[in-house]
Amino acid sequence: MIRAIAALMIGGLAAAACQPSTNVSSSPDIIIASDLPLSVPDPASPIEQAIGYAIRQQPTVEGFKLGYWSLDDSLGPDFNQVRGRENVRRLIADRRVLGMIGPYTSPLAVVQLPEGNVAGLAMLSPSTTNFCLTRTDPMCKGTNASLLRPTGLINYFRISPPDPIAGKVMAHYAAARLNLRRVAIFNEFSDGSLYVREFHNELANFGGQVVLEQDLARGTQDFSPFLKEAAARHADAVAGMASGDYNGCLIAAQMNTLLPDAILLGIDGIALSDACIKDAGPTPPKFFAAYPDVDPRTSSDPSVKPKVDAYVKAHPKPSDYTVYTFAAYDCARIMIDAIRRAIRNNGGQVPSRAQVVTALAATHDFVGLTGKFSFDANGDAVTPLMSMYQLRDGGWVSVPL
Amino acid sequence: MSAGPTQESSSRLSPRELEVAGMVAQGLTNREIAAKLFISERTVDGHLEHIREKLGVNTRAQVAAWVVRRESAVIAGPAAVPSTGEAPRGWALAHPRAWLAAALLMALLAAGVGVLRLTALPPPVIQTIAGSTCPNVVYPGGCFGGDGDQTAVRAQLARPTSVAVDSKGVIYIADYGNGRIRRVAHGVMSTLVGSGKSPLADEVLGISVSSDSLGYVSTVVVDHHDQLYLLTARDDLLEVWTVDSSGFMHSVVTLGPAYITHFQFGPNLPVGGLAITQAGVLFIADRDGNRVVKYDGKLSPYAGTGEGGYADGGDAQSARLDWPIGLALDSKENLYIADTGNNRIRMVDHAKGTIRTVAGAGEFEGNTGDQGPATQAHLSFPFGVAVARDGTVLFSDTGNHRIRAITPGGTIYAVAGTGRWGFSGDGEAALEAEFIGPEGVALDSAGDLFIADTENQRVREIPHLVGRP
Repeated sequence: MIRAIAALMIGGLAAAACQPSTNVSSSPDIIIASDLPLSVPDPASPIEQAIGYAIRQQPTVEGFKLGYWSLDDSLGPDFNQVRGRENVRRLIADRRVLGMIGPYTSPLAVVQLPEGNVAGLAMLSPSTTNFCLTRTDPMCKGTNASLLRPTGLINYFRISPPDPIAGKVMAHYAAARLNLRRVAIFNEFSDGSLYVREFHNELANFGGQVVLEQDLARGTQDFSPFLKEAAARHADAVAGMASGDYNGCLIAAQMNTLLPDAILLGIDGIALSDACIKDAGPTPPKFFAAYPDVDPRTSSDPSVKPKVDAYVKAHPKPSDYTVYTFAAYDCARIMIDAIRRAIRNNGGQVPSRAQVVTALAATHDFVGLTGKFSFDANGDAVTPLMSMYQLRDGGWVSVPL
Repeated sequence: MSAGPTQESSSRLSPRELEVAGMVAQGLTNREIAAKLFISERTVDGHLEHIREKLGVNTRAQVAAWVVRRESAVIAGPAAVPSTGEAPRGWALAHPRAWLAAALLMALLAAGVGVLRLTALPPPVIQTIAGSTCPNVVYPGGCFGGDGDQTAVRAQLARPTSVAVDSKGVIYIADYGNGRIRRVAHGVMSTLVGSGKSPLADEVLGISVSSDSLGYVSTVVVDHHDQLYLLTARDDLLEVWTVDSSGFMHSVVTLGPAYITHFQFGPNLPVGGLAITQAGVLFIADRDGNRVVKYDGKLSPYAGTGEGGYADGGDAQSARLDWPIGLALDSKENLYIADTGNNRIRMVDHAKGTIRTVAGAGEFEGNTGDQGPATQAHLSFPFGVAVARDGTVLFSDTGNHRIRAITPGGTIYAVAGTGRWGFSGDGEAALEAEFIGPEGVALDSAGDLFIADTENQRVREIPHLVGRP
């Protein structure tokens, strides 16, 4: 008995039909697939819904029926890489599968990317952010992109940002929007040097400088030595490569007395963190944090709002949403667009997987709900998902990037 | 036999609920039922809730038992396992005792009377011997605690992947998520080695394991002299260690870059497995390298070319494995391999150097074949394997949340687990218990089976499962 849930949403049908994965309906000519943890306590059902919604909106592509095959990599209450890898093998075995929306997480990507690469399958992820998936760096060890892409083909693309890009975005915001030039950085991440490097380079582009950089133990609670040194070096901002889950935001409360006029900058792990709201205290400094996703429900862009409203109308429950929900919707639309162009480039016939990969790579300024997307030579989005939040009145508020 | 109440209950169930109940009795999981009926798992859950409520029962086993009684009433069915051993569908697969009785019969027929002695009546029971629910920790992942506690069942583990037992009954646990080796002696939990600095505390990608960490502690094995061996991985190294009585580790052998190209670490993915002969020859499963290596003072290839895949039936070194993890030796030093990625159990014939499949039929996972030929059964990611003295092979059918066995005659049957994931069954028949992704298994000399119930953060035991020869 097949373990993976296979929900095949045949274009035009309102409801998904669950079928064993080896018994995929013969109706679709082309299938877009995903592999998600769907049976866990906090399932990725909103991602599945978003992909299904995009495909139901476009049930045919150039006359070919489009289907959605959703697989489940849960093993008990968590995802499992063994099942995730096998699921990719399953979908690769069906020649109608021309694209995958995923991988969903970076640990899954490590085992799924080599499979997809050898098969030449177009993979587009809304949610994987590990730097090493698309880059080669000594820090990456066995997860270098060169190992994850054994054929050398660039078939994996993502609109989610490589994690360290948050450092670059934060520095750009600090310099361009907040006019900051002297920043003190503390780092509690094992790979925080990558963020720092990005931050440093971008700040330098504006003539700014990192006046202090210190590695601190994760979980540090007393930031006073660092803050005193930052004050001595006339820092006008503090940037933390840290997490709210590990006391990283206690520094906000301590800045009131030790560096009272400085602005606090953070990244993923701080933005939207409830722990940060609590730890920052009642009178935090000005506090901004970058976040590697975009929630278009806060957008007033007239080209975006009607589509978002329609989506929200179709998905009214709070449980219909999670991080990267709209990114998944955009990825499905980008994939459909690539398949459409591949069909046209193939004389109106069902294209090969290689042709879809080529078309996906050529995506240019695709306007989605979460941004405008093109891909660089590594498969990364030229302008990946990113948003900025400010801690204001005891809550995180989205602010223009 | 009272048909009245059964029929009365039956009339309370809708046709769909009867259908679902029947599938529960066949041993299908909710996911499988959902797939068969083209409904969601949540809908199956809902049906089951109604079924339990209407029947006034609490467990799947009780639902299955009700189906058995109902079918017996309808067809005036058997009161015992048919002499052919071929129980009617829905009966033999339904009742745990029936499973075990049928399994026993098949086992005895296949292996010869007296070779395998399972305790059929009362059925083997299961119990937790270490680990408990983590307070204030978001599931999954486990946590650390309880060292020094007089009751190991109050201690906390984090994804235990492997378990070993010495001749004195001391239990060793690879506490994978905590980066420690835990020890249970006389019911008291302690940390034998490990600083607790786990690589899992960081992201699993791109992070070098620091020198004060054991790295990924995958496997514990005890040899015939009660010497403990560990298999760990750090950076690009796969390392085997012994631990002395003072808790100091001594390197035995390291598989360096010449063997190891890279690792794919994961939150619930052991790096390999380990087995030791009476003479001290080591076999090391290099999961990411898709092979098994032998160490007898020098390293040499033993099974698998290194290229992932499935090739069987010839010279073991020319075979292809796919993420081998668990290893175990039988009395003839034939090596059993949990060929996890291939959903198969493989066996290397010590004398001939050849390899063959002893369980598992499919390229992809499944959950079929109980009481039939093991090579025609479908498995789901077997992680751990152990061999009894009589040649019975026990393995964790990890993706199916079950423990299964292969008789020396090649018949497969279920030993523990309903197939549904969860935590239940302590003090009850092992077949009625629930596991979550059990990985390592080990047998002691008394035939007690120890199970690393990995995602339940526990180690469990089925006492006296396999009789001594």
